[in-house]
Amino acid sequence: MEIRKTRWNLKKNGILYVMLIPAFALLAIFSYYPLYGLVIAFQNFMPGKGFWGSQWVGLRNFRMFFMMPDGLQVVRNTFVIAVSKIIFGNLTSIVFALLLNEVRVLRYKRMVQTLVYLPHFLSWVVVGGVFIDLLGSRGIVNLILSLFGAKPVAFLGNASIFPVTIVVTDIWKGFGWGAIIYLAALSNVDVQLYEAAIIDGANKWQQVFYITIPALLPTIAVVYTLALGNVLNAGFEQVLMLYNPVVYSTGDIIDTYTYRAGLEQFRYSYSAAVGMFKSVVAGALIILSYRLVYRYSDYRIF
Amino acid sequence: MKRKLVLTLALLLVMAMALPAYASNPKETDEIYYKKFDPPITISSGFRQLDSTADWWEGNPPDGDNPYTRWVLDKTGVQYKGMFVTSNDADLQQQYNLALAANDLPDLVTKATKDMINQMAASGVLMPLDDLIEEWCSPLTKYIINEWVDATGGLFFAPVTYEGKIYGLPESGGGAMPDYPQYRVDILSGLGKEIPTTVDELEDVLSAYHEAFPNGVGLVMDQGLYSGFRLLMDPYDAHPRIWIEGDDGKLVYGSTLPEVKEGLAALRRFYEKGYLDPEFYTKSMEKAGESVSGNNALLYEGNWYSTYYQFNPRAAWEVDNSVKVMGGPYLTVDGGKQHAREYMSTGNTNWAISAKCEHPEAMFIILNWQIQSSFRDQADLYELFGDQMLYEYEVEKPAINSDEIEAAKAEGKTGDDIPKAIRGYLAEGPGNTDMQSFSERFMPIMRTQYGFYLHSRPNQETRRFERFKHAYETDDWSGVPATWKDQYWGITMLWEAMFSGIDVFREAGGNDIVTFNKFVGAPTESMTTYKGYLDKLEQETFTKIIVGELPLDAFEDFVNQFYAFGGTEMTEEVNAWYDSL
Repeated sequence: MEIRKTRWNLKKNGILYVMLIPAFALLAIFSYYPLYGLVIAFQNFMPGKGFWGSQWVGLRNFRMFFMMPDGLQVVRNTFVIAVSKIIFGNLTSIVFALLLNEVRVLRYKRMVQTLVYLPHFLSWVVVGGVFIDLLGSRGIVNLILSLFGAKPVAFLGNASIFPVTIVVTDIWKGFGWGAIIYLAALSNVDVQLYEAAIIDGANKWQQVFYITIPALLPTIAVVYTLALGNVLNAGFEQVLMLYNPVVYSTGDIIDTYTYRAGLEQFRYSYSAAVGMFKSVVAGALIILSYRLVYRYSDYRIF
Repeated sequence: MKRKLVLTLALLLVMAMALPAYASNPKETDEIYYKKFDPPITISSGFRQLDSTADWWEGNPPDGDNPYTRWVLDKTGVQYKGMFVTSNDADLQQQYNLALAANDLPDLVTKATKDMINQMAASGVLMPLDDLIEEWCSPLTKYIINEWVDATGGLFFAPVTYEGKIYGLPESGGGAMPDYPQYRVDILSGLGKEIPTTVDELEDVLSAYHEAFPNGVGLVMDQGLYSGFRLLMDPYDAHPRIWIEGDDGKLVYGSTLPEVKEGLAALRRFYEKGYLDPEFYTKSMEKAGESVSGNNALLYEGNWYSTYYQFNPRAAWEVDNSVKVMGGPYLTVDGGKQHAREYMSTGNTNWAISAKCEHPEAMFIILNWQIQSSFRDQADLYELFGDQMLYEYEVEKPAINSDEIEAAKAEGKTGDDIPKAIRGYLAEGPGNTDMQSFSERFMPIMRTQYGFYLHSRPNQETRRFERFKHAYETDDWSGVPATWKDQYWGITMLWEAMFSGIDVFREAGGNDIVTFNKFVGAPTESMTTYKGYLDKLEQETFTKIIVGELPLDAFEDFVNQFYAFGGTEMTEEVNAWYDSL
């Protein structure tokens, strides 16, 4: 068996294991030890009584979440927004990468690349404020629309449009960054393939469809599958900055919900339970996605 | 009759003779209230050190040795010991929670929310204060406490009462007056309109404004429905978000009463006609205020400080000197009685003593001293407690160190640039907010929340403004500290906007028009379960009704949903709490 070869081999590698200890210690202290705090999700936690003094309530906090009229609504909103972001965000990145790949003027290519990366580094607190102005009824977007005779659109004040606004603004902010991985994959495509295709008389479109896209497919599959772990991550900061009471019905997500419960209403146990629900679902999906990726594209992290 | 007069005169004479006997030492009979611990004892606590005052603390660490702690040590033999120092209240409260979890609560808990006090009391880590107040508060201190009890309708200790016992000393306070409508009178006169007094008149004014400035904001509102919202609730005697007494004497949640629907109908009409910002629901208070500071609004609802903070019309004034703001009366429907929201609060932050504290009486002794020092300018207290006052009565006068401050200003220094040495501790004891001359001494205590916090009397701020207004109107500034005049309010426009609020409130009947929130206890059990959802529903429904996304009758749906989903339990619990007082 192959596996037998990867023995610990302490004699040879002992010092390497010692060097790993600090990293594991940090991981244990900062990532695993705090997990112990999750016990409050099963309690009626009172800071004064501490973890072991508070009353145990079993799954009451979890039941309460699904009993609330807005519990399932919040889960649905989270799912819709997050999945749309994953699907359309990556699609935009792929198309952008393909387009950029065809640009032959290197200076221009680099300039565009840098420009589209930039929004990724801006905080939503800043960008959110800008969007509120841009998307207002007297903002520049509606101003342009009105030139074509359209009525002002309440991008942030219409419950059916709000998720679209969230997804589109998120794509604007992230697609350049997301394209990096595709551009990297494209740079690995063997130039000989294109040369051979040209000799065979393939035009630009045919080169894209028969060489570039097939070359990208494994990467696309990996990115989408790994994104499974994010189907309940709808983007806390962004929604917190942009949502308002009018769009609660489609805009309130699990993260903003726990934020309000935990930090505005001091319901520690309840928000811990809701957050834990989200993490458990996300955790299961991450395990699933890694298994899928491993099976179909031979990509593995662990 | 004559006898009585003679007797009174004789009494006065005796009092007058007693007056000059002030000394910084208490009389024997009062000694217990001003006891000095020997050897000194230590009281541990947490402190707040605001970032903005970091430079002030250089060499005067809040948790150790500074003018205030030295004064306390000198008078009472109590040494403060800082367990932690934070830069804001929220962090401070978190530190207390952590200390609690670690079973290491300091002797004195400062700035705790009423939730925290109730939770701590339930956990048994706090000391009940009833007997301590009775035993250790000086008559003067008790008098001040009673003033607060009266001013809050007897609810002063209610937020910190647990199972019939008092577990904290609430910090009480509030503005000088409730928020009032503030109009850009320069725009009004341009339109040929007067300040409106009824809703109909307001509508007429807004209509004229909208015609002249189609892109202007007639009435400023924010997404939290804080500002502007109440302006159209008050006329209908509607009191959303607070618990008020119904006709049957039971408490009822104000948002569910039909008067609120009338207010919503008015706001809905305003929105439809374009008098409100079409996107008000996306704007936080700061963002909403931009229309005022950017000179694009007619009317907003604010308090005296709104003239330079939050709405800041001053920014508009600095660009265009013709900008002028004046307060207007609380609107009515038909010229009847005006209504206003409560503006005094009790129990949002509280001071408490750990059950493990060895010398809980020390905190009351310090409080007795602090009140002595703080209220040196309150003539009525000297009439009542003349022979018990430890400090000499001090009338308002220019800052004690005014010469040095003036010299520093002449060098072009302002505000915090003025050297610490000048702004330092120049007289004995902490002073009163009421006196600028004392404020420098007051600083350490204001900024760290040392000790028990009872440094003002109810409506003290109003009295201060009255005095101020008088000086402004008569141009006789001898009665107020000189530093006030040029510190913030050197601009005529701001003065008039501020002072108009006093008239607005007084002419309306002062406190008689104020509706108080009768529920000041910690959230009840069903509140912790349902209030998050119900608040969200309320905010969503009201906003959607105003912007026309829901019909006006959706209000009834909200009320039904409210009572179907926890509101009934909440009402029962709130009334049980109210009955238990």
